[in-house]
Amino acid sequence: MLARAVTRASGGEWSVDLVSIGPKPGRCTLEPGLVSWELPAATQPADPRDALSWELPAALDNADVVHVHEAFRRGSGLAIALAVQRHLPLCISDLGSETDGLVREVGAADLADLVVAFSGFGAGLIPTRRPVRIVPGGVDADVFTPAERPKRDRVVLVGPPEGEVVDHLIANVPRELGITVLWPCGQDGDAGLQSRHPDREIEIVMAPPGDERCQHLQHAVVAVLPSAAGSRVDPVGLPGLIALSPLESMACGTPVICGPAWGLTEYVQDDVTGWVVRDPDDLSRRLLPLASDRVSVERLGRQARARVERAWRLEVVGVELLATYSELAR
Amino acid sequence: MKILVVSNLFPPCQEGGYEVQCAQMVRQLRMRGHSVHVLTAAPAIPLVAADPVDSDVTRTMQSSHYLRRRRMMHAGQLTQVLAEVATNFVCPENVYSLLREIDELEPDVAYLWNLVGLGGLGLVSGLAYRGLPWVWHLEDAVPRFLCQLRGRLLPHLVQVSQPVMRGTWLVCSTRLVAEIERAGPRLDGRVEFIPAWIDEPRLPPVASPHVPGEPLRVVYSGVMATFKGTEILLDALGQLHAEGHRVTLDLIGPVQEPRLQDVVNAASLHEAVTFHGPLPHDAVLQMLPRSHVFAFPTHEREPFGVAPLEAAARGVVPVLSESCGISEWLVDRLHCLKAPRSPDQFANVLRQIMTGEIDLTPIARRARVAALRDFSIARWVPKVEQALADAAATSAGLSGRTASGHRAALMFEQIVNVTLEEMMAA
Repeated sequence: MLARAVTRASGGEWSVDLVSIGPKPGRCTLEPGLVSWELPAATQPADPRDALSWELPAALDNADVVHVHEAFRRGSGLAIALAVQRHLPLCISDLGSETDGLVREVGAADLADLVVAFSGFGAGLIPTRRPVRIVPGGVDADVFTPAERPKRDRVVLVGPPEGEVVDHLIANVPRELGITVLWPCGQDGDAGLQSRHPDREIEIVMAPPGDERCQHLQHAVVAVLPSAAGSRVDPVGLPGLIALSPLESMACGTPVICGPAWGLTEYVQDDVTGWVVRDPDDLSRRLLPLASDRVSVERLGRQARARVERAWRLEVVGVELLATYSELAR
Repeated sequence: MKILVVSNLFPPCQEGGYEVQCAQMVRQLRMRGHSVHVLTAAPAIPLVAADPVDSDVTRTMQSSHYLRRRRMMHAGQLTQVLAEVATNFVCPENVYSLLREIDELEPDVAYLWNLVGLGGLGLVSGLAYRGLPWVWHLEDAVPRFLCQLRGRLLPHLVQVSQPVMRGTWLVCSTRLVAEIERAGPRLDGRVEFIPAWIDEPRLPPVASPHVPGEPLRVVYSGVMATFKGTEILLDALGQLHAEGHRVTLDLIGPVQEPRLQDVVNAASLHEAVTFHGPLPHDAVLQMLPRSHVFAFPTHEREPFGVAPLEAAARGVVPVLSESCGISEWLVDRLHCLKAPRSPDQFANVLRQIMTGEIDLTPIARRARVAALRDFSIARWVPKVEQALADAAATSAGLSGRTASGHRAALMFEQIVNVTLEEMMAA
């Protein structure tokens, strides 16, 4: 998404190769100037995201700038070392996923010309003495839009369908509202959620595409990030580091409930674009009136959308990232 | 010129001829007014000879366990693999040492020798990163060795390291280039052929010519092993003895295969063959003129071989495998005698000498002249000097930072080592 924003912002002057390492090697053009390039994995580590590829050096051959995301994974570490060896302008980002620490330990971030963080909180997690630039996350506000007539008939939970907070939350969702669990990265079952709450009908949607996420979010009363209120960390990243789900929800005109941790308050402003809760009990207190207090929901939803329009449109991020790359390439 | 020499060994730390040649060239370059600093490994075992004080030799690099082969034979597989990573691919501490030397000396050019044991690929990458041009003196297939793990060439590693394999190559034989490039790594850039040389400050004594009818005295100096052809020589000697010819053989050097003594006993050659063991270089040079021929039935991939040249300089005629490095440089029946690498063929040449079919005297004379004139170090220093100057002239100035280069090496090593550990555990 960020890459798409960059190519579009450049008006075709820049192209972006999205390089990853995985089990299905191949190259495909996603749109003009934007190529997805999966390199064949040469190793099979316990965590497949730590795979290495012999083709990584060739993938960097024609780069003017290298931006390494998930900088502390092994393949990323090699990409960083190769970029340094070739004196290629290098920026790195970290989405906060847990790693084995190998790359972090030797100070990979200090090899970057620039660290790009997607929130102030995220910036603080990167151990570096190199310059840091905060480029707030962005959302495709043309895809994620408010519904003309939002039903506001459900609460959407974003994250894995497990954990104490999720159970607590489900138990406290007003009976008039349905419950949908959106797990953008989910692949397995409902982790016994339905059997633990036989009296509630729970819709669990694994790895939904963007338009489906949009439909669910548009008609929700609120999107809740239970992980940010005490449950386990989202395995693909701390939610505050790029805040994609809250941004999508806000772009759909739906307020967000989250905790104060992990930099989410940089995106969700309490009682303006959503609610920031302190603990599961606070979360329950916030949920209970929502079924009836539609005025507040609509007010916060409108404000959230306006905030997205102003600051977090993908085009804005694209321009900022493009400016960053251009500076590095000079 | 300010020249930074990098070599895994530097005398008095030595194993073979490679580092001796390195030291000889360093001395010559210094004599010609160049500032030459040597970066090499700390002694793997304490030195027997005193380490001469030389402020221009820094012995701070690690040589992994490459030089302690017995230690490695007793190590577990994983230890061996990780030691080989540090030997061939990258040793971050050595990258650090190299980059620090570059910072301190600001050399015009790096002059590389044997980098096996030092994490050579990391060093060459470090030089490319700092933008320091290099000249790499090859008297063995070092670039090929650096791309190997557990004795197997890694084609992907060849491909990955190829971009940094660009510079000036001084190579002692065409077979060496062919061997390296056939295996994978391309010697990109400029390739010059420079033979191994001899460094004879004084005119060496001459061996007395062989007179037909008298016993033929044969000498060999070097490692005693199958690949060097020691058994071929012993078999040839056995044949000649069986025919009633009087031939003696002096074998100087370490015996890598103890069974060779059994071969001698089985053929009842114990009176004709003398194992002298490893001797100091000076003692070897003193022994050479006592013989008539220097037999060198070495294997085909022998990059060169200095000992036959040292013998030739003393009027001792080299009898060479017809296909080996030094054979590319000497002409059969003019400076040497060549034979296909078999006991029969070597016996045949020696037999012809003893029967007078081959007159050694003119060959010995021409061999001595050629060795002292064409293979003298003085003859080749200008060419080396020119190669260094040409390389230095390509420099666009130093770039990069030591900390970053060191960190990148650390990261590479850490990732590779852990990945290998996990793969072996699985």
